[in-house]
Formats: sequence, C-alpha cells, structure tokens
Amino acid sequence: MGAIYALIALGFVVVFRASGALNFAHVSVMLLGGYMTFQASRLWELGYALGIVVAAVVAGVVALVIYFTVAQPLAGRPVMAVAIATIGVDAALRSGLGAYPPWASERVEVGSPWGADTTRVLGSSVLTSHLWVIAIGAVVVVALVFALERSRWGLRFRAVAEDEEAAAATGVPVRPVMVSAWVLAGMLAALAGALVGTFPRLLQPESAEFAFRAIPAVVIGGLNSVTGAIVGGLLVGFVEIYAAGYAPAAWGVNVHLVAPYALMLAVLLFRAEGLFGTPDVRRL
Amino acid sequence: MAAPTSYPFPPRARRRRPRLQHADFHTTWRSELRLWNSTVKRLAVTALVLLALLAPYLVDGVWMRVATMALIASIAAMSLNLLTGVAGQLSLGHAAFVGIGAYTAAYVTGPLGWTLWVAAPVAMALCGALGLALAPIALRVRGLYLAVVTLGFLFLAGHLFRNWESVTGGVGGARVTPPTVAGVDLLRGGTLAGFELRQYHGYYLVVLALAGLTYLALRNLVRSRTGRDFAAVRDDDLAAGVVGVDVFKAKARAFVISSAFAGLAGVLLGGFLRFINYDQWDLLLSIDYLVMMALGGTGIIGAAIVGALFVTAVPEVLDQLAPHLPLLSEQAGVGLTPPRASAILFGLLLAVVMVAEPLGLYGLWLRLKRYLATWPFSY
Repeated sequence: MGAIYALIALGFVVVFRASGALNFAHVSVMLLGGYMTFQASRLWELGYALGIVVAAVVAGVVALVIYFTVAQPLAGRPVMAVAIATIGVDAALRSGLGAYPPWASERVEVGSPWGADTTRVLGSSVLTSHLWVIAIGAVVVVALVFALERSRWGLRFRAVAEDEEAAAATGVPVRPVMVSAWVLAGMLAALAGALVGTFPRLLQPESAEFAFRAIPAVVIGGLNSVTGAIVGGLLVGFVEIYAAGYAPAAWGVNVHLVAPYALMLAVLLFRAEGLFGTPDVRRL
Repeated sequence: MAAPTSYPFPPRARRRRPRLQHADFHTTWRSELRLWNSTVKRLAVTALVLLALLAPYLVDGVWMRVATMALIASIAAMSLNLLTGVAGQLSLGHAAFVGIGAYTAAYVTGPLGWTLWVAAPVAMALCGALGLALAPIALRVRGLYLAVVTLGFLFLAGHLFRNWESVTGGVGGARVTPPTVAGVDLLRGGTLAGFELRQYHGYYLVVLALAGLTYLALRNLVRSRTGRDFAAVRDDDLAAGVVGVDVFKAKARAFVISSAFAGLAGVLLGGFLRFINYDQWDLLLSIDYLVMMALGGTGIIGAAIVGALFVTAVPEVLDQLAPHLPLLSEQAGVGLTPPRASAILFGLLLAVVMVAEPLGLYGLWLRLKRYLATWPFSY
C-alpha cells in the first residue's frame, strides 16, 4: 500500500517541481494505466510485464498530450489555472473511462504472475504479490532518486525546478526537461495503476480514490520534496492500515479511507509546507 | 455690486441623471459604481426579471424542474464565485457545504419537525460557522495547499454524511419535508390566495427570489470595501497585507459568506429533491460548481447564473436527445450515458475555458461587444 502511494505521490511531485502545478489529471492517468495493463496483459495476452510496458507508453503519451494542450499554454499564468484545468481534464477522462463498457461495467482483474502464493517473512505469511509490489516500488523509487541526484537529466531537472529562467539562461533545454517530467509522471502513474489492480485488489472506477489518497501523502511530505513523497506515501499507507485494523467502530465504516485526510489537516496546521517541503519565500 | 461670479470656473452645473446613460462614460463616480450603471443594463435586467417571472407560463414541468435546479445551483455557484473568483481561494469542497445545508434541512424538518423556512437560516449559520473554522487553515496554507485542504474537507464531510446515522440517516439517506404555504405544497402546486400555482411553480418563485437576493447581496459585497479587500487578497495576499488589508479578516469573511450561501443552496436543493443521499455531495458536484463559475466568468458574480443554467440544462437536453444522437447510450448506467457525456463535456469545457478564455462566456461577450462597437474597423 505504502509503496503504491509513494509511487503515485512521486508522480505528483515530479510534475509539481517541473511545472509548479498540482496535476489533478494524474488520478485519471493512473486509472487509465491500470486499465491499459488489464487490456494488454489479459485481453491481448501479452503477459504482465509487457502489459505494464504498454500501459506506461500509453499513459506517457496521454500525459504528453495533457502537457501540450493544457500545461504548456497555461505556463506563466497563475498555478491555480493549471490546477483547475487539470481538474477538468481529470473529470473528463475519468467519466470517459467509466463510459467504456468492457472496462468499467464491472470490476476487472489485472491478476498477477505470482497468483495467490504466499511467502513466509519473519514468521508470518505474506502474499508474494505484496512483496513484489513493495520490491517494484522500492526499485523504481531508488532508480528515480538516483537519476535525479546523479544523472545529467536529474541535474537539469533540478535546475528547472529551482528557477526556470535561470536554467534557460545557463543553457538548460527547459522544454525537453518539462516534457520528460510529464511523461515520466505519466509512466509512474501507469505503473501505480497496474500495481493497484494487481492480484489481491481488483480494478474498478473507484480505484481512482487510491490516487486521491496519494494527494494527502504528497501534501504531508511537502509538495516539492521527493523524500517527502516517499515518506508521506508510506505514512499514509500505515495510517490507512492501522485505521482499518484498530479504529473504534464508533468512528464509522471506512474510516481508514478518510484517515489520510485527517492526518493531512493535522500536519498542515503545524507545518504549512509539509514535513519535508521548503517553505516558499515570497517577496513583493 | 455685482453678484460674485465663479470665474474662471463656469457655474456648477446641476447634476442631472442623463436620460440615456452609457456604460463606460460617467460624469460621477457614484454613477459608475451603480449596480446597473447604464440604461441598457437596466432595461436588460428588467426584461430578464420579467422573463423569469413569466417562465412558468411558457414552459412545461420538465423545464420548470431544470430551471428551479439551475437557480438553486446558481446560488451555490455565485457563492463559490465569491470565494474562488473574487477572493482567489480555490475550493474543491463547496459541495460539502451544500450537502451540510441539505442535511440540516433534513434534520430540521424531520426529527425537529420545523419547516424548511426555519432550516434556511439555521443552515446558513451552521455553514458559516464551519467556514469560519476553515479560515485559520486558509490563512496558513495558500493556493494549491488550500485546494487540497478543501478536498480533504469534502472527503471528511462525505464520511460524516455516511456514518453519522442518527443525524444523516447514513447509507439510507434522509428525507426532507417539502415546504408548504397555507397548506399548499409548493412543489405540487394548487390554489393560493386565488392564484393558480402549477407544478414546481411556487417553489420556483421562492428560489427565484432567493437567488435574486443572493445575487444582490454578493454583487453589492463585491463593489464594497470588503469586496475590494477580497480582490486585493486574490491578486497578492502578501501585498494586500502590506498596504493595510486585514488578510485574515478578508479570507475569513470570504469563507463565512460563501459557505453560508452554499448552505442556503443546500437547504433549497434538499427541499426540492425531498430525498437526499450520502454520496451525491462528491467531488463531481464540486467540479460542476467550478464549471458553472469558470464557464460563466470567474470573478463575475452574475455570470455564474448563466453557467448554472448551462450546466443544469445540458444533461437534460442530452437525455432528451439520447435516442437521436450516435454514441449516446440509452441504457441506464452502462456506456456513454447522458450524465457521463455531460461530465466529459464539462471537464473538457473547464480545461478549454482555462486555456482559451479565462473569463468564460463573460469574456466572449466582452469580445463580441468590442467587435460590434468598433465595427467596421474591428480587428
């Protein structure tokens, strides 16, 4: 759970750092990624891994389209405009997905190559697919952090995130960096969507709420912090599991689904920029 | 001795209100600030009010339902416009306040046994208080963080609607007793003081009056000192604070007033629907209100009414046209149903409006006016 939230949260952070806007369309891109994985791996019988690759490509293209049609024309306008526009795109895309009968008429099963096997870890039996989800999440997160910190692309990305104009002035190709950030976020969303639909869970239009619960994860960690996204994602995952297991019945059914928001409100009251975010310095 | 002259200034002309007042050229500041500051605007408003009053005699039941729903939605959209469009505080949780208003209506008319007329001020006070509770958060977090906070508020409210069964009825939903005047059900119609009321007619008139009052209240607020404070906070809250605007007070006022009117819209919506569900106050409803605001014209209070009419009418139009349109599914709940088709349309419209014409239909209207005014030398 935490691993999936961290993946989704990373997608939000990557776009936020590049474009300075919260990309609400990330939610529907994640759902699309999950459904594409289902389509490719089950209906086209390409297998699980190839299915994820196909989904990642499709989601990357969709993210690219969103960048060129919405985010790029709105660059330089208030970030609120981008946020509102992506909310619109998200509503449209999600309704569109819900209107495609082969996918949305009932829950679909992406399944998993590991079936219902369990592995014994530290004396308790755990679904193998859970372990794989955690492993995939961890590998991707480490790879991404490494790319950000060590590669030439990461350097450029951080430069653009820091100050777009200064980066452009020193010769960083801003546009390609932006495009790559959006595509990368789309691919992360697709991977997360695929993992959301992996074995013990089924994919349904309501799976979009996974991505909505990743938003508190991002905010808890701090919108512009990669570390924050990872920690926030894990935290939200733990809070959700604990709320599901230990919350008193008087708090109502499904309290675990809203617990992340309560946690987020609490964190924001004490640290308005999130746990790992940098407070933005403003001047007139 | 000659009477003192006012040389070199001509004697002060008696200020008369011109018979035809142009919208842009005024002789006094007062005249420019008037609510409808030109002759044409005054005539147009009069015509619109007359049309709205006569509408029940011109259209049949289905469209009366749509018109009433649209007017109720316009109250919510106008209040969102005050908060987001004028004061610049993006809220994704507006549907929650509308829902709280509706549940207040259910509780007040159900277990407490009072009428819907009592529920309205109660809901406005309750929602206003809740808005005040959000204000300190709005002071601490800005922009996107605030949007996320209001999103969280929406989900938490939804959780409460579902689980606080003693008040909200939980999953079973809640019933709102429709209002009556002198024993006449305003929704069904009847004869009231010698007046023949058709279906929805009475309720429509009540809603129309309240929507009109809401418009006047919010519009007057925008052109007051408080309204200018809101605009200053929207443009840059730090700068507003520096020049002496009490930022906290402005934000708190925007939240309180906006939430109170959203509560009013909720009461009216509850009374109209008679039965409310826990899951209808979701993000999609909030997005609908955003679309009404953005499509009409962000920051232009009255434009939200146009947006509300559009957003409420489109699903109904699609529903009626469904058999004749390709792609549209007539089977309930499967495929591209009219509600889904309109959600797709609204989502795309929201994006298109943001990219192409940030002022929405109002912006288009301004462009058209400018084009016609400078014709044939328009560019």
